[in-house]
Amino acid sequence: MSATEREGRWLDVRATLWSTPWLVGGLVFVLAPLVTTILLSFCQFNGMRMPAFCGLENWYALFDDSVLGLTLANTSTFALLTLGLGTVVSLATAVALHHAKVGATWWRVCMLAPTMTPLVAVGIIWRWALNGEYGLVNNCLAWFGIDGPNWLLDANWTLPSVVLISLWGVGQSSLILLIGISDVPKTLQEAAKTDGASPIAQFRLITLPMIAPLILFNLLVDMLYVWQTFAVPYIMLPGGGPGRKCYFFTMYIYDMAFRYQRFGYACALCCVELLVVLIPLFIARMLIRRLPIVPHAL
Amino acid sequence: MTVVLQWTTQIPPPFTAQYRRRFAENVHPDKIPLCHGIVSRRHSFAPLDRNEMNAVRILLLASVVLGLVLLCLNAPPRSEPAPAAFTHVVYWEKWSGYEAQAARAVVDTFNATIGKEQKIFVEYVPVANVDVKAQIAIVGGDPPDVVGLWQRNVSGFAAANALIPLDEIGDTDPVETMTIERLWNACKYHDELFAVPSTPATIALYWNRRLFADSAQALIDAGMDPSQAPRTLEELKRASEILSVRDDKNRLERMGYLPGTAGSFDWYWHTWPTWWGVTWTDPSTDRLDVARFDVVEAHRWVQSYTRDYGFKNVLDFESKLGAFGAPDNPFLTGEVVMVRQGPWMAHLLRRFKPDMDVGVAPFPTRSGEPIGFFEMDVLAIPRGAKNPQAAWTFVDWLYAGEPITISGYRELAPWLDGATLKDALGDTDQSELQLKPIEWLCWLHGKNSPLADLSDAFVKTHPNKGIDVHEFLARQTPAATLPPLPNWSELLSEYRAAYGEVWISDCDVQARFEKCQREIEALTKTCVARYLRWGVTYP
Repeated sequence: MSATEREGRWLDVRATLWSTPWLVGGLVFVLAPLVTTILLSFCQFNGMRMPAFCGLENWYALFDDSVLGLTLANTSTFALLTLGLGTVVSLATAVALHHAKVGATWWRVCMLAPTMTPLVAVGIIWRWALNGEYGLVNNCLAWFGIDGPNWLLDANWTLPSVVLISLWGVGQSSLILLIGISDVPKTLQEAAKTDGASPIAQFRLITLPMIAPLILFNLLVDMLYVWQTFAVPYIMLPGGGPGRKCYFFTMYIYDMAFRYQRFGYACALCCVELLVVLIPLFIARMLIRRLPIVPHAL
Repeated sequence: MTVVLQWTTQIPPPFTAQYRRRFAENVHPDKIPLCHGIVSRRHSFAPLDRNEMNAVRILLLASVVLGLVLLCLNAPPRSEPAPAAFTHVVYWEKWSGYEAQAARAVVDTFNATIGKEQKIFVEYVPVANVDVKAQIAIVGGDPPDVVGLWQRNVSGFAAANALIPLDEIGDTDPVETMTIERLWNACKYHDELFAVPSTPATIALYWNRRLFADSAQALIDAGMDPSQAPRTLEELKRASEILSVRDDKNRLERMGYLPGTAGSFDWYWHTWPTWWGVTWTDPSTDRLDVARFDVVEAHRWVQSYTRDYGFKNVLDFESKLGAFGAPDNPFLTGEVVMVRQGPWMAHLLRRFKPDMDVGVAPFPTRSGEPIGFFEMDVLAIPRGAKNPQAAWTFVDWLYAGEPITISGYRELAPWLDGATLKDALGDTDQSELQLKPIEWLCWLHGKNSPLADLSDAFVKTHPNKGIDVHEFLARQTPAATLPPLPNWSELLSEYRAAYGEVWISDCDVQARFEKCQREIEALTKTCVARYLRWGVTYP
């Protein structure tokens, strides 16, 4: 074995040692619970008696559960609206920040600050801001002569309210896109400008394709978060609010496990959530592979 | 022009000296993918140099040290350790604030008296979400010796074999004879006793006497007595209409009564069938049925009540209302004239509006005959408790212990002045108020007494001036409480969802409650199957 190989192997050993805490953590806190969840989904378990094997009973029960259908519909609608709006807003803010001439650093801090606010505080702040009578949002709408809705008490407005609140955290996505936009080579834009491309054409033909992987990355990460939305709606709209329009999938899992002691069924629901999240991830992976990539193009 | 992108999933190697060198040699900093470093001032990414790495290390170390220091400074005070040779009883309870102070004071009295004699030390541990945590502790094999649950938990825990039947531990007969029968029976599951009441409460109507007096003439014109609370639901509706105030745009500024809110200060939607005079279960089939004609009619009444004010109007009004445990509680601010609440309202009134002129009356019913709806907190001994006998000694002492004086609790009862005490003691030889331990607990909580033999001093000195009404409701009226079903919480969620739609929208009540009934039947069917597998009969 040559000296270089020995050095390489030693480096591998060191790298493995450095990774050990993460690997152990992953095994104990991710893999073991995952396996346990899958096993428990085939058991009847109420958290107090020993789990009793019940075959596919929990899985069959999924098809008879109308509340599950409701939560899936709510969560899907919420995810689509949030991801769509979130992407547009984060892209718009990233472009605006990129072109900001004054106080760019402060704007970036302001964008990131909401993501550092504790979720409970976020829930309380928004509960006040969206109050139908005294809320900040309706007061602002009143300046334009708009009689704002009763955001959190009117069944037709609760879901849009939660979507609006979820935009509160787009700062992180914006910053990632901002970094991507900042890294677009100026030479390409200058060349396009010389060829007579308008700013919109430059954005559409140069910037957007170059940051497409980052947009996809943001979408995937946000989708994981969106499907796990729990704390804010749970605080603001206990039980899903009027008409249970904001009764989301994760809230249902929590209720099943900890309020109704149906851990086995809750585990089956967790597996469903895993599948629901994995399918778009696989699709995204395929999309990424099909992206026209040439190494070192940047 | 074709623009081609690079998307890398390469995992960054550790930033050893060799790797840093290789990076520096092979990769231009502007080309390093996003995850390989930190944002530089040029908005591109570069690996950290030695000084930067040291700075990060120092920062991380300082954060850890600071965190540990803060943790040490803010560590909760350790409870007094059990003396050597004493049996250690761990008591988990859900209460916080003044309720926890009261429970702790009673526990301290036990430790200082009978506990000292029998070498038992009870450690009071306040636990949030006690039902969930007790459940996890029981399955984990390390439960407390005594756990303070809610009445609604008893059936579920008992059916899951998570509680020890109290008759297996000690002689419960003496305690039974002391307790109000209906409360005692509500602690049973399949005729076995799994808990004892700790602090019961009945639901009553709290009404603002001053606002009634202000509208006296209008109330008299409507055939009502302004010095009395409404007795029937129709009177409640009429009084509410008179007491409600609208502005010039017809928007509600004050409401006589609200049959529901989005949960901020009304927890008793599920009591509605009771006031209408119907039960949850169909007497002919003995099964839970919310799609029955009477139950649907009860909720049609609720819907028509809100419809009269305008659904949007009521929603807008509700937006203005504050939270329950705050000075802007709508009853305290006078925005709502009558509320459906328990005896603990006294503490809220004393704290935020001591001069408020409040009346307490049985909640109106359809027939006008009062009905006592009660719920309670209970004490139970979990399966797997290490010292069940000692735990029972403590629970038994709460009921059977010698009366104790107020001296130890004086600071927890600032409302008790000399004149009230003198009036309560009357011609007796006592110079201090004496109550049984369980009475102290309920008295300090501002709740009902579970004892069948209600002492005069308890009522006269109670923080709630209307406790006599609550006690009347607990003892001398037809009673109603939660059905003893192990999956009650799940069924209640379905009911609340239906009520939540009915009271504030123009939906079809019959259809909504038929849907609710279908959900309830499906959940019950699943529950029956689950319990059959464990060999337990669903009630």
